[in-house]
Amino acid sequence: MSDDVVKAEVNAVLTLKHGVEHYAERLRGGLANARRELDAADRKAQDVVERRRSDVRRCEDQLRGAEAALRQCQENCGGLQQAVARAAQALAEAQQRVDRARKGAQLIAEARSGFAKAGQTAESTVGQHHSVASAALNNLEGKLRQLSGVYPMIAKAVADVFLTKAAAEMLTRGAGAAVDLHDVPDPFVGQASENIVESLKHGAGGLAKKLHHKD
Amino acid sequence: MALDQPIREVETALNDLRKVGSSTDAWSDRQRSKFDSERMQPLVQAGTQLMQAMQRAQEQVQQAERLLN
Repeated sequence: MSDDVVKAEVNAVLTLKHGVEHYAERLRGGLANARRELDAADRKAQDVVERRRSDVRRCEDQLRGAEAALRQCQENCGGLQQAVARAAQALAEAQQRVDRARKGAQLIAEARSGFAKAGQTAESTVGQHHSVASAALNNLEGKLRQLSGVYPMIAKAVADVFLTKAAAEMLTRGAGAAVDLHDVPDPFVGQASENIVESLKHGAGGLAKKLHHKD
Repeated sequence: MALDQPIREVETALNDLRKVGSSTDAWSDRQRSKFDSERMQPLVQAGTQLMQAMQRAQEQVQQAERLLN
């Protein structure tokens, strides 16, 4: 087990941390964009409904006018009767259009409502897992960096012809730090450092035996 | 279409997250599998469900637009 392995672990953790953070940001961005689009669609639908209602009111006025003219007619009223019929037809069509517009607006309101719930769930889930993952990864990164500082010192001490107790103590401290890391109550953090723990324990034990025989 | 861009954003974010998870060569298969099931999968699932919700909303908006035109 070398310092390179610990550094590789640190790099892996950093890559993951940035990946998870970036992912959470982009999901929140996508969610915000979708909400804006649905809000815009809703406003547009309401405008259309209002315009259709205005058309209906206009058609009602025209029909009232045509009927009033017909009531006053004494003779040759065929043209006025046709005008009344056309106004009634126009009003019926305007009513159909406003009904369709209302259904469309209702669909968009349902889309917004349904998406609002799904969006809240996604936000909550991503927020929860993202913050736990980031905290665990920050913790792991910090402890791995501590460990990566221990290895060069140990390598230098062991390279000395006369193995010293200081080298053994250093290795044991490194193993202790790795054990702490292993005990962090997060399965990912513990799992990721398992090989480091085993390696340092083995190294500490081997060095202690050599010192004992030397003494 | 109204929600095309947010749908693409979430889809791209999901693909990138999957690539990050599989690119950590420093890990053993066991470590990667453990992290994958405990951390990555809930995040991927949340993103997938969000994308599906966006697609459903998109279909409803398209239906609505036919009635509004």
